Amino acid sequence: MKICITAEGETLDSPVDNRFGRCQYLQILDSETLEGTCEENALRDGQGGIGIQVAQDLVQQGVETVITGNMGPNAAEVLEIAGIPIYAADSQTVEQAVEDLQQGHLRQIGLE
Amino acid sequence: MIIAVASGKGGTGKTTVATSLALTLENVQFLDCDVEEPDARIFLDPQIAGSEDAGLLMPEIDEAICDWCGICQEICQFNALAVIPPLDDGAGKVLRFDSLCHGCGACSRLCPERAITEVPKKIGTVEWGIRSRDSWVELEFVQGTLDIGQALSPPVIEAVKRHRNPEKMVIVDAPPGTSCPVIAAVDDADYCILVTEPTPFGLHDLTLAIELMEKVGIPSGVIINRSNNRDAEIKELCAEHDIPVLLRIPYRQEIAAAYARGIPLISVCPEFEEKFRAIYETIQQSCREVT
Repeated sequence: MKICITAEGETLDSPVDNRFGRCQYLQILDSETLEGTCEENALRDGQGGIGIQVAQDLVQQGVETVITGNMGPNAAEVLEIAGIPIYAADSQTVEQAVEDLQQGHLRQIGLE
Repeated sequence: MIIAVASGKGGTGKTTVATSLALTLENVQFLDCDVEEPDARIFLDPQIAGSEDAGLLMPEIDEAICDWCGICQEICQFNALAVIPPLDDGAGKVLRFDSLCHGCGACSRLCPERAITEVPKKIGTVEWGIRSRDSWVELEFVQGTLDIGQALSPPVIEAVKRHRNPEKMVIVDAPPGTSCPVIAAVDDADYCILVTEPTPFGLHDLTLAIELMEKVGIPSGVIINRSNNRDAEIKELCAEHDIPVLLRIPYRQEIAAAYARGIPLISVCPEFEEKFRAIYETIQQSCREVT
């Protein structure tokens, strides 16, 4: 499964970034192999509606699940309509967060 | 002639100055462009005669025609649109985020499928009326009020300005700050009075306001409100930028008490009438020098 984790760094032991739209890095990984790409979030210093744009990019990249800290209602609406579930992590490492997700330990968040 | 009253920092006395100036001069039209918190009405007490909606045009997307190309979303500088192409089993959707849309119309003009029409959306109200009581000064009054929950004030400010009467001496009560709403309020003024106070915030925001006026090319002068004889830094700043200190309004309890009861400055301190007339002379002179 293609999964996006907002992260404070580029490696698997970087903590999950609590911010969604203004996170530092976007790690897009295969949930089984933990292989994938990590890109600096080029949009993070933009003016407004950043969450919407980041969410939209993830939809276009075919991401199937998102792990982050918190998400605003606009970005959550985009992902919800695209059918992409959002899970809340709590500052654990990227690797730990993916494992927690697979163990069913992460709380799903969204519009309601 | 258009004279705007702005400040940088909020709460320095824009409305105090604007209303007293309006009541001093003749043949005045007063535009309250502080649409997030219009309160000049309290001091001018006009009889409201009419009102209209103020708003902007927002895109409405016909999803039956849309082919999900994503151009509208790409072109939107405010991230107000999100195109979600159809999933394997369902329908696609174009989301519009009203709080971000500036009503620029780019999406509807550039949609290759012509799937977007523009529909008006109300975000505020414009009201107008006349103050004419007893033998007191008669003036035309217009104010805008942004609806609660709306964030975008420039369209309401523009709607107020469309009521401008070119036959009148127009006084614009601008919003605080130095961003888009202020620029919308002052951009075609002939002169801008900047009201400040002798505090670190007052000085800091006055600096920004002076720089803004220099950038948009509007001649300006400063009024120091709540002056307590610690005005040296403000005067220094004005000298550096070569703009005049037009007036000092002292820090006096009777002025604050009158303000709290909605009484204009010149009603409680009639001696200011002459001072405001003198300011007007200075402004006229300064505008003549520019042209």
